[in-house]
Amino acid sequence: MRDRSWKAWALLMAVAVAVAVAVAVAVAVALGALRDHRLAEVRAQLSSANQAVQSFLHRDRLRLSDATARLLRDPLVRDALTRLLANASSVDRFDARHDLARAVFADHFAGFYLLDAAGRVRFSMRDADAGARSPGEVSRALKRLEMGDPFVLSHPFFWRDQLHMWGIRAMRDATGRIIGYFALALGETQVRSLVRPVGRIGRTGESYLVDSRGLMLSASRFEAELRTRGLLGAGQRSVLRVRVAEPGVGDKGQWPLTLAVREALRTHRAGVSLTGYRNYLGVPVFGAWRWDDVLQAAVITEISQQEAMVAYAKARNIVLLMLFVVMVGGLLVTLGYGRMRARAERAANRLRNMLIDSTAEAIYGVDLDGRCTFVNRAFTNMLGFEEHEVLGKMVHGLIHHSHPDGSPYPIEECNIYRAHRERTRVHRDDESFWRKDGGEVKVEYWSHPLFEGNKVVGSVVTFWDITDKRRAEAERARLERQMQHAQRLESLGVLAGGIAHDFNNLLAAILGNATLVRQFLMKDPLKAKERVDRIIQAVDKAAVLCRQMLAYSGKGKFIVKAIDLSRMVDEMTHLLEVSIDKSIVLRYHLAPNLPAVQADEAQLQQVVMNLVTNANEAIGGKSGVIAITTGLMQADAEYLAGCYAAEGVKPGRYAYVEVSDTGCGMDRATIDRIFDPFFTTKQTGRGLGMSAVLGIVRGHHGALRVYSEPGRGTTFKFLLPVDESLAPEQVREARRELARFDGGLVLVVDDEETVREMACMMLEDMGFETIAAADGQQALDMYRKHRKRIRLVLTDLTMPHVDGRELFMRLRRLDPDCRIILTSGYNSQDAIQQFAGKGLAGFVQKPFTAEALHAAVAKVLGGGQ
Amino acid sequence: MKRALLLLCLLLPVASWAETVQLAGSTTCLKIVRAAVEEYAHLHAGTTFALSGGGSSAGIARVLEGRTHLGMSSCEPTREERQRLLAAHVRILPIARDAVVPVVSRAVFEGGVRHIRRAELADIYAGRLRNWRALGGPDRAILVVGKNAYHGTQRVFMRYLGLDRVPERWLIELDDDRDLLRLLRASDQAIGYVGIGYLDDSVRALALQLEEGVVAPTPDNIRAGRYPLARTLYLLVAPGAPHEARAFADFLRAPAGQAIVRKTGFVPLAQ
Repeated sequence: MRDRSWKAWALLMAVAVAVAVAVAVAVAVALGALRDHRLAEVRAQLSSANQAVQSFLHRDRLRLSDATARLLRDPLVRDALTRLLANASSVDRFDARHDLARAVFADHFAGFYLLDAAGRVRFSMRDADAGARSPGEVSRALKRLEMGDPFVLSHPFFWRDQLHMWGIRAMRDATGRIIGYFALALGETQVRSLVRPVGRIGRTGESYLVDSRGLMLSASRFEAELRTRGLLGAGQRSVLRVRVAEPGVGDKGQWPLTLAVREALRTHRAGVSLTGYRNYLGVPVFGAWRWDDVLQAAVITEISQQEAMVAYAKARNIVLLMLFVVMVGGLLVTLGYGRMRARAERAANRLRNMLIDSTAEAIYGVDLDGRCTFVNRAFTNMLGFEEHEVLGKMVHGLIHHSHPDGSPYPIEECNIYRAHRERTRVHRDDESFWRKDGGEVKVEYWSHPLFEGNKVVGSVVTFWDITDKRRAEAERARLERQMQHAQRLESLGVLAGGIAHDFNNLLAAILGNATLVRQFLMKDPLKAKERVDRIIQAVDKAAVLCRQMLAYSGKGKFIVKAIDLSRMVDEMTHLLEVSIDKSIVLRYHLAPNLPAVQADEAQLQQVVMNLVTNANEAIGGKSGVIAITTGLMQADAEYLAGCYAAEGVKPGRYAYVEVSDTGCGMDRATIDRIFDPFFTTKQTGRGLGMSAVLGIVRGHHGALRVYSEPGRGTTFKFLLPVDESLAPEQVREARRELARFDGGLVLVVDDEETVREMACMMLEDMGFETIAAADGQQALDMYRKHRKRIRLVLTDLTMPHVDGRELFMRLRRLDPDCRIILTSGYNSQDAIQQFAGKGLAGFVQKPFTAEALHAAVAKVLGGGQ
Repeated sequence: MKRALLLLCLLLPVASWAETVQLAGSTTCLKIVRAAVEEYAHLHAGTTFALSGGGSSAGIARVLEGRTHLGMSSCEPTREERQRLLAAHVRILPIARDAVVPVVSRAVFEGGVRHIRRAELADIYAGRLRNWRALGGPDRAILVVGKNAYHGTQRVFMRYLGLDRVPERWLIELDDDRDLLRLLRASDQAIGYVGIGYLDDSVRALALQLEEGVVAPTPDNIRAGRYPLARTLYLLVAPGAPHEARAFADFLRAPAGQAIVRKTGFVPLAQ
């Protein structure tokens, strides 16, 4: 049982692990897809923001370009510029400045610079500027103007401690030759979109411009951060002061430019990085970049990876949390369920335990292996084991290890486990259980197999202690014996009284006659002789009485000599005829050449006399037959087992005398009691006769068999062992090999199983096949079935339902040629008489030997040589 | 239940049609208002604002015409204007104290011109004084910058100088204080005037030389009235202004709004 539950548990675990793995994989795939989706979104966002920034920049640049163009178209401005270029006087110059200032500042610019063709400052808001060389960035811009660009927006640059950004146009003469440049310094509002591009996304997203040196051209969104990191001084703007490089150690001038800048500068194409890189603050970001030829700068849009993926991260966290909750929930549910089931089981068990503990009977369960699955309180009380000492253990070895006599009782033989194998209940009351302290407890137990569906899964055994019961029974038996003994003693008293009474009478007769002899001895010798004869008679009677008593006690002095039973019976015929009623016929079947037996003749005579007297009384005044038979037989152990007084009697050859009558018969109960000393069904007599008979037979190491049927008659047969030494010739004769017949089927009919089997065996030995029937009806059915093959029918006379006679009639009616041999315990003459003239093939008297049967069969079938 | 939901759905677009608060007028006030709007938007995310300049006169005019919810004025309305405003049930709400300050390019200040008399200012703006030399400054022509006539600042300043009209020839008139400042910054010879809220490091304010002495445009002097060019900044609330506009006006006058006033460099109403 334990193995199985482990296996189930392991299977469950495997399934759970598989499910968990599958779920994890599914979740990972889903999250991966979500991430990819988000990244695609980020890509789109960055690209579009980047592009938008570029668009805005271009628009603003365009606006500036237009503004500068417009200014230059202004006649006042043109006039002023012309005057200035023409080397005007200082007053003129002031006026020009005045006019220019009005136009320029009204357009929200922060100043103007008139440069000569060489790029030097010719005129500006301050006279002090005049003659100054234009800064490098401006030179670069001028070059592009020279190359044909109508308008150039310079990058931011520092000039005279100030951050400048100029929009410059070339001034050409009529031939198109550049005569100078007009630069407008951008005011902070104009520069704003260029210095602080609009590409802000969320909290960490920004866009900025980077020049080809990697310097930031616009204001970083995170100037405070830069200041904290020391990458920017307090109060400084990031424009031109921050190198867009990955922060590291050492000289920040050596730090590698960020990926976006590198790529933008290298490829001059638009790109996006979704694998992430570190920006100029060291923050891991996703970025998009493009190079703008017009602006001559890289436009970079970045957002921190963390912020970009926050939505994904949120979703992922939710999914994982849900997963966790589900798993924990699942776990709790399983635990809870398991606990609930355990609790329910405990509750059920409690009820069950209450029930089984409340019984007085002990109950325990075993599984198929023989291990104890539960015990009740009565069990522990009765056998002294604690519950934990028994549960799970092989219980047979603990409590049922030995038979009551102490011999070992192996588990394979144990009847309880038979219930498992045979799927039946087992009930025994002849075994013992053993207590923990080794004490024996006689028990009566029932073992019921437990079924699960159609399979046996164990047994429940209930038992109770019958030690007391047995003891009580034993006690009762003892008391009964005691009582019987007392009774016997009492009866013995009565008997003694009776005997004494008889003896008294006899003595009185003797004394009386002796007195008369004394009286008449001289006077009348003849009379005296008569009296003396009477005395001798009385003494004889007394002697007989004494001998009877001796015989009853079984301890008398025997005069043992070799006796031929046939001859003895023959010599008793007169005596016997005198003892019986006139209406009864005596028949004799005395076997010749009967081997002698060593016996006391007088006692045997008494036995025969008793039997005949009883037979006489059984017939009870009606007409009847008493048949006396003598013979020789082979008595085996089984036969002797059915005899009385046969304790210690060995199988072998026995001479027998059989007395059968056609009297009233005896029922089973009566037969059992006839040998009781004082049992009698007769009105007169003390009932000593049969017990005396038994005593005599016992004393001769013989056996007595009784065969009776109420209403039919009784047969008494006593066996006496043959003295082998006396008639060796006969011994040799007996053991002759029986000749076999040449096959055929014989139907054996007898209601006694043992007789049937014996007859079948004998017939099979003779070469026949046999079929058997237990009563006449069965025999008829079988006969009808196997009619063709049946050569012979062997049937008993007395059977229930359809007896031998009825069977005989029916068989003859069915098949007139049917050969039927009758067997019976009765004397052949009487038995056969019923069938006289009806075609009975043969008769064998029960019990029959193989030889007798063989002879009968041979007579019927002929042959058998 | 369904009906309530439907009604709710109808209300939502209505809610989003909440009026944009329109402000127009003095550019001086605009500095405060810009800052206040930003602050206000944090607190009341639903309210949107449309800001425009145009000068104090424009502010008054538009309010009277009903073309704006809140007018801004950086000078005292004339008696006539006041009458018309009151007649139109326009509420005149002071929101800050201000002063108009004459400012010069740094080079001029560093060149020695620290304070100025009213008469001198008038001479400059009338075109009679043309070189800084006359005031003890560097030898450079004076580039005169001012605001155009719609601006309250200009009216205040001109009134003080006692000038009605100024010939254009030597005056650069600009509309935006920031442009004015930018000019002064870019120049080394310019003079102009702004509300103190616009003062920054790039230009230098000139103290006024009065009979009593030199009075600098400090908040104390302004509040005490010692500085003559002081003025009150007003918010003019149109009678039909939506409640968001009124709420904003209240906000400006509340301590939170007054803090913004101070932050933007102006003088709060009360201390």
